[in-house]
Amino acid sequence: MLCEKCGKNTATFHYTEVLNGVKNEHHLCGECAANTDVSYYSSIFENDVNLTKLLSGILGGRGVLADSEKEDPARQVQCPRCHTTYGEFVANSSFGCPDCYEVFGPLITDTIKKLQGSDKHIGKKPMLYGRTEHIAPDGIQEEAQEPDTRREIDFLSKKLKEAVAEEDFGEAARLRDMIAQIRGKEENNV
Amino acid sequence: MYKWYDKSGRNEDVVISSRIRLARNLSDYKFASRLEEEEAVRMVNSVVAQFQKDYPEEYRYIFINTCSEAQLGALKERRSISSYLVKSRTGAAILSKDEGMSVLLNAEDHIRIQVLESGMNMSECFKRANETDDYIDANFDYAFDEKYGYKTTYPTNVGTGMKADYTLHLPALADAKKITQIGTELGRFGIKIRMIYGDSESGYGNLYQVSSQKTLGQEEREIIKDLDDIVIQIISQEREQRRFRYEKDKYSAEDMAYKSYGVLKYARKLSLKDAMSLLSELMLGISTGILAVGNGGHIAFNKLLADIQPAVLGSSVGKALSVDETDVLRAQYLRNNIPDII
Repeated sequence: MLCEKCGKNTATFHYTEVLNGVKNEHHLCGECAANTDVSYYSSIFENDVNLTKLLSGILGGRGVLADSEKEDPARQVQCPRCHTTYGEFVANSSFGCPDCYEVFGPLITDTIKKLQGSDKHIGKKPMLYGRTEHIAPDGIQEEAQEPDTRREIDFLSKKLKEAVAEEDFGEAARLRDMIAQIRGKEENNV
Repeated sequence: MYKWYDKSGRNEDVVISSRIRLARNLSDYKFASRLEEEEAVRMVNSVVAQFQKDYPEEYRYIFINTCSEAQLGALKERRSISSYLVKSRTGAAILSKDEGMSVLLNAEDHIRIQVLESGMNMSECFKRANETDDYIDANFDYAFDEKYGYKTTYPTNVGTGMKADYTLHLPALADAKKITQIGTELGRFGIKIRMIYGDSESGYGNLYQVSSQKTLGQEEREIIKDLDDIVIQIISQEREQRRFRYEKDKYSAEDMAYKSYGVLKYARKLSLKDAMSLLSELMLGISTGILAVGNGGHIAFNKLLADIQPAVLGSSVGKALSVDETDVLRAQYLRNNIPDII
């Protein structure tokens, strides 16, 4: 059996991985195995790799990327900011920049749904997008998860100044109202 | 200074450690894989500078390109940094003094916050990671989308950007060949189990990582609760299996526990694989009540597991060691650090 990575040497290193109940067997030659980290302490963040392989399997399997369908308009899509093409996005299963979400997001909604069971985020948000209530697991003191209002106001004030400097008055008005709202709540609590 | 692995935690007869990881990116930069070196350096330095300004004493700052391979190896084995970060020339890490929290910069994502705790303590992990997240949020602009949530390099992290995982010691379930079956069941709940050292054919140490996979459509606390509910079931299955095996063949169980203790206490050379297997048997013996140790019955297994890794052993004596030298040093370390039984 040949190594699945280089396809040249004989595979001498075999390992099995159970992913979501599915057994995956891997066969590598000594050289490639040495470059592939399968040990524990070195693999803190490596879970992504296998899942992304899975993703490119699903995305590639949809047929939009089959060679015979070179005319498919999805293939022509490219992110204007980082120049990642849809083909590269699928092959690497990774976004190139924040803007890629606007570019490729609409194309992969179904796939994300299939992969994650949902395509809608309902968890924590950055402060700029509004306060998130009660996100911490049970067993943590309520007061501990109250965001620091002082810090939040400082942050929003910083954003407000930026918005005014950029003459984005719509954004400035929104930020002003948010600050007023937080200050109002604070006073009510006193 | 106390390290995270010196503490004891809940359900530590089965749960070795808890961990939260948060993936975040800054809106002003392209993602790590597409970031030019100059930009990457600017991004990393801006985050480091902010931390240094506000927390001059609390953290250690590590720049990948200024560390030796041996230093990075040891940090990796201690779980402070990831092997992905090691490969990032522009990468850096901000480490808390207790080594329980790391902020990794310019690995797969611009920012990865990781918090480790001994035993079963995901809420504490989350609390600490969340506070650091709020701090960075107040000073930088995160890449975020109203629909998709936190934008991450990989679509598998988008949303909460959060992965929660436990390291479990499951010798009895592994011996009863139940792990594959558990894996199939967990898959249905979007939870993954994998062996930490080696594979299912020739694995050792009986340590398994059970981790959440979903990052969309569920709040952070729900994701953690689902994982906790499952892990509590695994814990009770493992305990039941341990009891069953002990009652079925008491003498073999006792023999195994005392033999592992004896070898760990007197061996002159131990490979990592042998040491891990013996530690697993020792842990089982202690949790079944066959062996009792001093120090209130607590052994810091997270510390032992990290301290016997090759690069950590090498860095403890400050030089590169041959395999033989490493095995000798490992045996010596264990002789000195396994507490006496009472």
